[in-house]
Amino acid sequence: MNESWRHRFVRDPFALGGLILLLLVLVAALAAPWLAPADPDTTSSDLLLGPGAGHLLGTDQHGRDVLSRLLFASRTALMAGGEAVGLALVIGVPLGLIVGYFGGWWDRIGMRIVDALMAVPALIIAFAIIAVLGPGLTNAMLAVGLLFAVRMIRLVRGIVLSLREELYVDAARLGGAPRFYVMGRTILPNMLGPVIVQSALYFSAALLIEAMLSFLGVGVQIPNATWGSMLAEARAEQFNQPFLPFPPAIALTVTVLALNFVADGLRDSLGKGNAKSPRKPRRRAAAAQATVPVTSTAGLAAVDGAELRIRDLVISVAAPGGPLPAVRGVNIDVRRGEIVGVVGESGSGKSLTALSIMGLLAPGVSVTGGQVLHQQVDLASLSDKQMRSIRGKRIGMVFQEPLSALNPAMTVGAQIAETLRIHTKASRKEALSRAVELLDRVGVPDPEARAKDFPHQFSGGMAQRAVIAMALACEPELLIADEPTTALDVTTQKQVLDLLQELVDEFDLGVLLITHDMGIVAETCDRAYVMYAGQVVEAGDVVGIFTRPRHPYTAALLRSTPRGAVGDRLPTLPGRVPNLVDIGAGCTFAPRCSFAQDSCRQGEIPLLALGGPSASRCLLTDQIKMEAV
Amino acid sequence: MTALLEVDDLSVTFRRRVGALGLRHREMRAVDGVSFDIQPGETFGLVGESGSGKSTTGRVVLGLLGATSGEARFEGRPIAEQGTSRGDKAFHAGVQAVFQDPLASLNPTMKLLDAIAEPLRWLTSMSARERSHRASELLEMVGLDPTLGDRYPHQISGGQRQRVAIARAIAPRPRLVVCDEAVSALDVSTQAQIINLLQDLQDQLGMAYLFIAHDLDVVRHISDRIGVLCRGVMVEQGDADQVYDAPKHAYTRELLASVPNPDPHAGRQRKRKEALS
Amino acid sequence: MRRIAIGRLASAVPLLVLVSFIVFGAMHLGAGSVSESILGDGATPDRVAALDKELGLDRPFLVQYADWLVSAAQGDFGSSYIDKRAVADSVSVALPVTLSIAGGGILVAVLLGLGVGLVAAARPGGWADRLLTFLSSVALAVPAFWAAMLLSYYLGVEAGLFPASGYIPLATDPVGWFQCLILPSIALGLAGAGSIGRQMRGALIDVLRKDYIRTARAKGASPLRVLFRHAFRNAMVPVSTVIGFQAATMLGGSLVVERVFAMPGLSDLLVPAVLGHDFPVVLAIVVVTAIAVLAINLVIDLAYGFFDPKVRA
Repeated sequence: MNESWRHRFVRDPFALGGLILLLLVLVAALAAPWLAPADPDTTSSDLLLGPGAGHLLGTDQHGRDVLSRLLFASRTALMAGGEAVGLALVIGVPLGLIVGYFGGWWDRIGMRIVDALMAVPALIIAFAIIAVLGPGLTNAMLAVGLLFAVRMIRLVRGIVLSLREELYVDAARLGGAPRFYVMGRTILPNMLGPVIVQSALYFSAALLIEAMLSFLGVGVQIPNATWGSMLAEARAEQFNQPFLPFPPAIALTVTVLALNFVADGLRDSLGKGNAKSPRKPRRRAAAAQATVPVTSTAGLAAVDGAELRIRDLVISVAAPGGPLPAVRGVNIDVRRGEIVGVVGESGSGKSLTALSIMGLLAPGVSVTGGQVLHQQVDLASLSDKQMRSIRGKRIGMVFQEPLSALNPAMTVGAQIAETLRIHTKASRKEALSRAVELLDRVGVPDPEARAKDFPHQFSGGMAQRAVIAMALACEPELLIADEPTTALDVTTQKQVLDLLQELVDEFDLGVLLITHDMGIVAETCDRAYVMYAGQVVEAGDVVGIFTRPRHPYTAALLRSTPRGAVGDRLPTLPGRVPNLVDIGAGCTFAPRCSFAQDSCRQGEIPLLALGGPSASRCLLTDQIKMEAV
Repeated sequence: MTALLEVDDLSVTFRRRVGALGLRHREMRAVDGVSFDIQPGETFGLVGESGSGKSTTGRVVLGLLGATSGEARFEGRPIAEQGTSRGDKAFHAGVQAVFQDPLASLNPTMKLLDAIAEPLRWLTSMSARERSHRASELLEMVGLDPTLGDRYPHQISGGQRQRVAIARAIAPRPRLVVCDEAVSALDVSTQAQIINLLQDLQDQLGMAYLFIAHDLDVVRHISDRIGVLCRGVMVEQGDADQVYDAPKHAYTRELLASVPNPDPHAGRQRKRKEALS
Repeated sequence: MRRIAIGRLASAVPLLVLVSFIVFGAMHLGAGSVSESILGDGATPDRVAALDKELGLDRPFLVQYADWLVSAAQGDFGSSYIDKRAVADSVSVALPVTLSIAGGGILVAVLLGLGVGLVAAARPGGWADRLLTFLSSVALAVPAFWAAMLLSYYLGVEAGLFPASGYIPLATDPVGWFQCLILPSIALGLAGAGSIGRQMRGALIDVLRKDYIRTARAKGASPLRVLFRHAFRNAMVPVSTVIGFQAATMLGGSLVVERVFAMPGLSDLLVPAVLGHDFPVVLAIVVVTAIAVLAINLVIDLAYGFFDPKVRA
């Protein structure tokens, strides 16, 4: 279906190497009669020779040619592995599907039996099955196959159970599809990846178990050659010919290794299959990179006495065709005691800007231009070690998902205390009692008891209060809040935003509030920056922005919020936020703007100062009439 | 006129096995005695915060979940849980759904055109050729280029995916579409486009919506009538304007007061001025 | 925690009954006449019938099983069909040998594996990571008995660093016991270390991408603090499952390794029993190893509770 996983697979040198080795083993097995220099079972008087001209890999204790035996043994190995895996698939996949999809008694009885069989080490169950069936290679592989079948049932059932929860399975059921169709067309293709990967791993495990059983003398019967029986015989002669174990052992190890590499490669390439959106062709990315303008924003008036001053910030994201600028020349100022909003849709670069202040950008994303000035110090140029004395102490941060922002294995109190333990000389006990005070301050009821609780015992709103307490523990001057209430219910959101406003006044805190919600900006912020496609397109105080937007994007954003009466059509913005690689010359908003003229599509549009803190990146800002509501 | 959907004293209780041997149960009442009805062609909005039982109610209406007590009736016939028995074709042809996450609600291994045509295969007697022709028409109806039909879900944008999910839902010409947080995951500008699309399709095809969402502004915009759920209980229902402009229940009032108001004079600026004066 | 332990123990009993029933049933119903195969060429109908009577095989299947179950619950696993020794006696002599090797192997695997995982995940993609990941894959692919042969021959026989074979009971000479276990433990533990190392690396890399790691960094935590205080414990949740699985595998693997080192463990009992249809011995070993695996699972469950507070509640 998607050719991309194959590309990913062959790009992985281990996976490709593994595949080539496997093909070589396959060729050796198929062509053994022609490749082998001698008959594998013909004895001679040349006993226990080392490797040499006559016998490339020497001879064994009966004078048989080791290379020939090795080649023929690879046939047995592949057949044995094939039998075991085939049996596991034929029994395991359908049973796992049925047990998982139908559930109920099928599931309960089936899983008890599987659990019981899994409680005994695989090798010993194999012994028990051989005790029933009698020794021999076929029986040994039957035993191994049954063993893997049990594990396959468990694997398939697990996948089915999780896939059954998928919305698209619900959707298929709502589409009236019969059960077996849902199983075959909706569930089966989506579990093929893990089943194929597991089969490769079972194949290699089967080779190892076969070797062990043959080594112990209950697998293949002498004089037939398998790698395991060759090793068993070699062991007896190890003192007379130390080289003898190496050929079969290396053959076995290399084959198993090759299979594991192929399995790893498949897992990596298939696993990413659908989750990742496909990249645009490299050519375009490279071309785009050359033309994307990175703007300098001399037009924006600096705000006096700012604690944080972001200047001409450029953040680039690594891409196959070279780094792409995702944030392009952003200027933001934050004073103490004010809440500054940064608002924009996804892809506007607002979160990257927030993370860059703290030096917490993900690998592959980096600041490639401009400065992040905090009291004359450029944070972007500090080392990680220097940055650590800023994080948590001078600048705190609050994140979007409070429950995942807390470490599930640590008590909430200990996590708050940790900030203090890192930056102050407070003892464990002092830090903990301060944590309780902080929890109390942010409005967590019964703080003493709650400090000993783990995050999963907290509701979203309470957890966010705890995260705020953690960020404020060292009384920093600045707080970066990245969508702090997006994951919360509206009533909780209001409480958290109210708390934030109280704390700003109490601690004389400067807050940079990242959000996508214009309503939140209006209610909580003093000033705001509107971001679009990596640039600030409008800046100003909140009343100005909302009563008289100076950029068509801001105006459109305000209009498309559904606040109108029933039945009204929402004014919409055509199209969507441009992809990084699609950004060309001129105004980035022009393709979606109803006012756009030819002049908008040429050259770089500067951020025009409009008096006071106001600025707009629109050439026509004074010529067009923009309405907010 | 008989109602299209009647939900009558519906309760859903989840039981979770607890304890070492899983012999004891802990009960969680997700929906508690909820009643409402939907007339043909109207939009009924169901609002509530997380854990209010709004999605659970939606799943019962879709036949994906059984009621513990009470019942939901579609066109006068009780809705049975469809999962364990053979699907009831007449029911499925009448009631369809659009979910929150369009990526999760489309089979990643299926081309978009096939995904849209799939319900037609089971719910209509169309031939394969008719189905694929109809699926192309549907793509156009939801404002997409029919050539997109050859792609897989991960190859298109979030807004486009939601359009495909809508096309799939309206394919069998349902009388009721359950929209469960159908626009919540989208950006504001995309969200407005999808809301308009849903309203246009309703005008064209005359189906009713059960519109489940946590965003009160969106629900008010799209709904004729609204029900407010709080911890499984329907605390208030009525005409959209009446619920919003003159809420009767304290919880509704709190909910409405909590919505951030995009009027800066009502926010921090005002508090500042008050503090100064 | 206590409830987890009690729950596990309570579910272990029916599981053991089920295991023994499946294996007992398979051996008695699936394998044809036991007496015939024991008697071999000398099997005449009369002698088969006599032996059946002697071994109690002429009774109905369920009666035989119930009889076995009642005795087994009291620690009596019957006597061998072949040498007539009490199975419980011979197993109780051989079991400590196998358990010692398995325990040593698990120790090597866990210590080595966790170390490898931590070092590799500290800098993913670096040279140490790539080298260790490759070596882990190789360790996984090397059959334990070949590793045993190499160690025994080169470090034991040739270099004379450690005992190359034989077993000294703990009670006889603790130091000797420890020394004779060194090479077998390494041979057995290498593959497990490879597996645990890879899992630990993957789990750590996974955890290091979590939001709460970013939170910890936002607090100003140093990389080592992030790795040990925040990532390690959370990564141990999935890894402890793998450790449990590896421990069970190593219990089986020690049967092969003890052969190479000529140690008198369970394989000395099991191999002839399998070849000679000596069902009481096979069954006893199955049940005893199942008990050992269940005990390992219990430890893992308790570890789970330690690493993941959600399980504890």
